[in-house]
Amino acid sequence: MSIAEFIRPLNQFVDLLPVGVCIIDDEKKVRLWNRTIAGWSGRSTEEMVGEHLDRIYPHLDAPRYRYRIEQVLDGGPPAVFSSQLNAPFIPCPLPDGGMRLQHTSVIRQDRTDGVLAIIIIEDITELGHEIVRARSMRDQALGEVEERKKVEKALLFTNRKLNLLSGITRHDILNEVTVLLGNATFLDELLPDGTDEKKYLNTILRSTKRIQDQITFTSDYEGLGGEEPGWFDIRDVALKAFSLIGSDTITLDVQEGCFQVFADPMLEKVFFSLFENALRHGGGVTTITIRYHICEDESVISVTDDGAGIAENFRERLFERGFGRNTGLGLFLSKEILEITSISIEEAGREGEGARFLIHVPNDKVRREKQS
Amino acid sequence: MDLNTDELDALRELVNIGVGKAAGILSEMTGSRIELSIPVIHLIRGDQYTEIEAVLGEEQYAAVRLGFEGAFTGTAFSIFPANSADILIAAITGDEPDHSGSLAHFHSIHAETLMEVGNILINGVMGSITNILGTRLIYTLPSYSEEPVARLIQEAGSDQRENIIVAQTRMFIHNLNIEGKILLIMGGRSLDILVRKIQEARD
Repeated sequence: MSIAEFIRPLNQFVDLLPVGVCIIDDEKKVRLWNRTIAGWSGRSTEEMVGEHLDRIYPHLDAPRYRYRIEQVLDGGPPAVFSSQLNAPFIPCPLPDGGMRLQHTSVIRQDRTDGVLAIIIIEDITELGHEIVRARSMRDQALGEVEERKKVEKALLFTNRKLNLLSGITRHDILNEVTVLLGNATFLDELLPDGTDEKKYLNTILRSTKRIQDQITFTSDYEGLGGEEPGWFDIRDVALKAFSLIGSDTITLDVQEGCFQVFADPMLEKVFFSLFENALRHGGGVTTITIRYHICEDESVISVTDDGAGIAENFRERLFERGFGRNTGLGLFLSKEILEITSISIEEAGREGEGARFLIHVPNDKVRREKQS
Repeated sequence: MDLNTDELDALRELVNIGVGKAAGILSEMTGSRIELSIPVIHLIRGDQYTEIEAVLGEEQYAAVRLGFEGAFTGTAFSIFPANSADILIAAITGDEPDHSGSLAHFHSIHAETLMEVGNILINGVMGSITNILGTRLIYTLPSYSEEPVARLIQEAGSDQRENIIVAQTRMFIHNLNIEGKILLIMGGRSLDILVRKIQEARD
């Protein structure tokens, strides 16, 4: 097939394509210039066909283009020209004054009366813009992360200073409270029973003891969120907390297998508090049972005992600060510790059937396999 | 088939000429002096996967593929390990290198740029082989992919997988040392023809 026979039927077809198509012969004379490239370049088919491509676009005569186009015409493999390493193969201005980004392929075509190079130009301007937009969003996000890190660092520094100040203050107050309690106790021993003085002194002693408990609690509360949350195996945490209770009368039954939750490092205090409550106020607890329940929406850790259970009218206020028979701070602190990583706790037992604490853990904060 | 030292030398000479031409074009395009080291040539049989992995590793490569057909038929690849592809792209586009050792952050414009660099390397080598041997081939359009070498080889036709010529070269831009390889995968008959044509050209 000759060059003319090859190009004639192509003319109409290539005008339908959304890519720019230009065919040149071995003298670089334009033999076909489709409608798309005509529209992009502003040069009509009539104007271009028969012209030497490198006379209209002199940059194509530079060795970097000329050599590679000639290599294709000489029988070499197709050549590709990327948008990053080359100026636009055929400059095509955009309405905003910019240039269309192009990816160009040059392919050889042998005919009976000569050789052709088919130049296919793809417009990748939009792709380029998308990448610039994505890069700018990434840079913005990285900037925000950097800013956040700076703020976190400053907050950590301030927090340390405040902790130091409150630690010193707590220490000084507790020293004074100890002196106060010591002297009040001595006075209590001196005063005869049944007197008004003794009654007033006992009120002072109770209030001072409460102040001591509350000041001691602030030390625990201060640690909340002070360290990064991490993954903790419930079985390990529960066994350790139980060992600290040191009870000979209660047996702990924890489900076997790996069940890790993402929580504040003070998680052990939660279990310590539940066990301590069972021991002190459980009403003859002999066994505490811990089980894991995986549901579709969340996972639940149940901590159940076989004691007297919790009175209905207590349940609502169980996790309030100051509510309870001892300091009233243990369960409040437990709730706060768990909330740091979106874990919640409730009491769902029945009076007379033992206490049943349910710890609700979002499934993205649960792992069933140990990971290094 | 095996290649003797003379045949391997002749092949290295041809690849070296092609790589030299490619270096010249790349230098002009980037405005930086780019040097390519004299390639080291290995011939590996396609079924010797252990040896392929020993020479090429199991990592992901940025690969430009070009099929050829004619007096000898096969597939040519220009491949860059992730680290080298990252440094190369950064060196020629001015983008920040990622240093992650993976190709995950590569976007279409990076791929397009690497495709052109790979295309220039393959064209240099194939052009040099066909010019000197006075033979003409028909080529596919180059394509880009990110895969381990073993998978690239598997994708070549089963009739081509018998022999793999590995030409290993290093590219130096701004004192950066970038590793790149050219693979020519071809069947026994095609390799036979290539070697015979090289001998004819030398005689």
